Amino acid sequence: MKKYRHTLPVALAVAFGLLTLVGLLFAPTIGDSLMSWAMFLAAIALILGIINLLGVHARRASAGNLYSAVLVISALIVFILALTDFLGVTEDSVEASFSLVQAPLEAAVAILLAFFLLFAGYRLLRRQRSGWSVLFIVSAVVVMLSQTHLPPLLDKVFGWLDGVISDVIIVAGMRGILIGVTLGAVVVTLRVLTGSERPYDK
Amino acid sequence: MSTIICANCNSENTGESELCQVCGAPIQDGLTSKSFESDAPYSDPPDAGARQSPSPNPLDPLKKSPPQEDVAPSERAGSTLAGKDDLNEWLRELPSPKTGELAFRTRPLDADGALPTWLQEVRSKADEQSPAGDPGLGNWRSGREGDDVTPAAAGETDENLPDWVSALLQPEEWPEVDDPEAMAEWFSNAEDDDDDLLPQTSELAMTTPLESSRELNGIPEQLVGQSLPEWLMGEEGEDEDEDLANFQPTQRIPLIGKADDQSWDDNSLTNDEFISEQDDLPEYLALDNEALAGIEARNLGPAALVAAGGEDKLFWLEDIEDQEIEAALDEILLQEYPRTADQEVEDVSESDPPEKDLIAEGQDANKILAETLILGELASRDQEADPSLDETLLIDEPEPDDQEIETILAELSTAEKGAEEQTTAASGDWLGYLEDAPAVKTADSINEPALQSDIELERAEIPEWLRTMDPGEPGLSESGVVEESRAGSGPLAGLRDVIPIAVAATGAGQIAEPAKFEITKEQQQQVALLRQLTLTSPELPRERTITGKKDGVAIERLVLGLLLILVILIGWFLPVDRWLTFLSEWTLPEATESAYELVDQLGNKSALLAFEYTPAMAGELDVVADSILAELVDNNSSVITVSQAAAGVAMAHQALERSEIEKSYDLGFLPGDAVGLRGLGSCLSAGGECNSLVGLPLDAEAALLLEDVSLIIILTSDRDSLVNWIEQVGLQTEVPVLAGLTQSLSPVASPYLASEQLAGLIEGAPAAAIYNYSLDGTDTQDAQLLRSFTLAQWLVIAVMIAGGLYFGLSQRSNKAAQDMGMR
Repeated sequence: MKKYRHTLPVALAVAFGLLTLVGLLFAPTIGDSLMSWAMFLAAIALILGIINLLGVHARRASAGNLYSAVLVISALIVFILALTDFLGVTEDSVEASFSLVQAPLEAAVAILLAFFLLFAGYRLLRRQRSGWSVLFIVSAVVVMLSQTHLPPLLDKVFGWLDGVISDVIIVAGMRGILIGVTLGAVVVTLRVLTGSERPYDK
Repeated sequence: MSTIICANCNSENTGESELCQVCGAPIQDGLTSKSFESDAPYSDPPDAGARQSPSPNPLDPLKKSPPQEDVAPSERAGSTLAGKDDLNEWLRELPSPKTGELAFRTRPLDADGALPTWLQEVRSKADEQSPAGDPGLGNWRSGREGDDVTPAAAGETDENLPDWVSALLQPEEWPEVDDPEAMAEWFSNAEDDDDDLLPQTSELAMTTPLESSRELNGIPEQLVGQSLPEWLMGEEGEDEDEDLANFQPTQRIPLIGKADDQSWDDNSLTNDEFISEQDDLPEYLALDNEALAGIEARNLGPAALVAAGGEDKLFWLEDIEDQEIEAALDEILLQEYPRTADQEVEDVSESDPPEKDLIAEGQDANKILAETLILGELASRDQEADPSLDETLLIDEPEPDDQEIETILAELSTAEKGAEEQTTAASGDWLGYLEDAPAVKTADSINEPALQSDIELERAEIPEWLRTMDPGEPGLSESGVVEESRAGSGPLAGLRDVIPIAVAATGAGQIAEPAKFEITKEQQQQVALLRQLTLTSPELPRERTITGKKDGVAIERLVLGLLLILVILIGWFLPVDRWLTFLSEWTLPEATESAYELVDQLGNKSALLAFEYTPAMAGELDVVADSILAELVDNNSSVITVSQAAAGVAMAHQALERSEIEKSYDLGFLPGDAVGLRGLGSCLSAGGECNSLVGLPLDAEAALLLEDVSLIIILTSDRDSLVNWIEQVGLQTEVPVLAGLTQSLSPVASPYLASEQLAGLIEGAPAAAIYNYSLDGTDTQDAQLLRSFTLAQWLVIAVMIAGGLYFGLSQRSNKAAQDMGMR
């Protein structure tokens, strides 16, 4: 059995990968069925992940980690609220907790990003004074000027400049990145199908 | 100076000596003399170093470094002292007079004068096995060539004998002594009335190592042709006297040179037998029986050998012309090894007998002389009792009376005590090594299994009495260095280039001891450095508390933060558009306009709205979501919400609640990322045949709504989510896809927008605000947002330019960078 410890997963992965590929190309029904299995397994994996997360942080909380204790307690509270909502004891208690706790907190943390970016832009050349830093600042300033609302004369200038930057530079750069990502995904897919890449065996 | 060759041991003595300084036997003047230019072998101090120094001269075994096996017997016979060189070192250091005891070391006679039992057995066997018509003594002797063991020895010390000796002690080899009458006649020439001496006499004769025929073949042809008897060349002589006469010259050469370890073992047997029969000693010998036994035992090997050789020599020396033989030998040897007469004399002087060394090492010469005298007198007494021995072993001496014997014994006792004291005090004596022997044996017990086994095997072949006298480290000096390459003890005694076992074991013990470390100065420095690095707590660089600069940075942060808040508040509350009229003139982007056109064209059909953002981006994307939902509400469109983010489901609920849309359906959480989106896309492309999603069955309302979906709107702040939606859902269906993104993600959507994979793009809150502003006009919340947002952007641009100019043109950048690095 130990002999099949590594070969069996590889065989299954290659077999189902090829089967899915063939199904997507020639037999959509088979491909869709395999997709449904994958989504179902992903849902089960999510539940297992939540349980594992609670278990890990419960051990940390027992060891005295306060933040883990807060996480475990919060998870249990939300789970209890969901249970009460499901049982009809409470109504929309989960959404209320989300709107009153999670949304303001995340928004508050996100708004700090504006201050951080402002301060980082101000001190950029203080940390590193180089040509690339200067180029970065100039690009950022030009893009922001092209995105903002300026007086009509400047708006035309920076509007044209914004078009060049967005339609030429940004699109070209992002398209190159996306093509590279796609090629990488194809290579990874081929490696998985041939058994050379085994992300499931780590 | 003239020298006299001892008739007993054939050693050279000074002309003034009365007793042989090797064997102690009285020297018969005029027997053989030889003159040397400068020769004082026993009076001059010995040169120990010369004896240790190796010499390639093959004529001098003491200096000869090659193994002895390489030297032919005839060559070894060329040196008259060759046999002495093969003696053990510790035996060589014994006082010379003790070796003289061999002269009288005859088997004690029985009290009744009868033959010993073993001799009687020999005779009886001889009577039984030997034919009566073949009684020649020469035949008896020739038959004993190689049989150097007496039957008594074979019977008494068979357990202690080596295998080769035991093999020679077979009774059937004795039938050659087949003529009792001849033996009796032969013994009658060597003994008198006392028959008990007969075994000893025969024993001495039999312990003489006769050369085998193979060794005899090594004799030069000149010599063989002149003097070798026919019987020795393969034919046996018939006449006893003639055999003896012809036999002796041929035996002389190998006999002298055959003083090797084999002879040593043979003589040890004789000694053992002698010791075993100490009870048969005469009364006068019994007075100092233990001392004599000890002396006898210590002098056994070489003395017996030399004495035996001397005795044998006497048989044939009378009729031989030594000068002719020696001349022939010298001629042959000089042909093979040319050497000068001076070298020969030097070699002879260097090969002095061991007595010379003992004298040089501080031994009491008087003691030696006394012992020699007393032993010689004791031997003379035996000779008196058995006059037949005088021809072979002893020379006539005045018979001492009892008083003289007692006096001599008393002197001997006193001399021995003094010798013991001197021995104890002498550090270089071999007895000192004997005391150290246990330590050496302890070294033998070191983890050397193979070596230990060898030692045990070799020791097993050594007789017990001889092993007890083994000093342990023959030839080992105080410094532990082997003085001579020749083995001094054990079965390999006499062989050259034998590694001393004791020395090897001692060396192994010394090696086992930990070697003394010599720590160099560099090593000490390295150790100190390592200790400093490991043990000493590292002195961390002191953190520079730049209070002023830190406060300055905090002030900068505070000022910038306050400026940003101030600008946002100004834009939100103050009518900036009145002061800045261009802020009221907004132009809707083309992609945003296309998006809203698609929403307007949707009509009452269904739109799939994906909420893929979290509350963190809710401030920007909620504006987009609200504007789109408001448009859908206006169009009376149905909305199906779905999300692959856990928070997105809640965000969708909030957005639906804010929009007050009537026709909506929440698919909830869609797991599986790209796979889930692939399944959703398949379901959308399947039309009304999609009955399940994510393994769960879809109700009829959801199925109808999915079948009626005409627009897909993606509200996301995540790149992967945008790409997955476009690639997995948008490519499977012909439903147009819109994207409401944050401004930071709009560059990622630009390629898809350019390739028309995205039908429209709403770039964040400003685009949605402009769209709403275009619908609702001024003095709305969207106008406030646009003013605040525009002012904040200006502030950010201004701060970045100011900071770049300030820090780029100032010299503080490097120091500031260092400060930041240290933090």
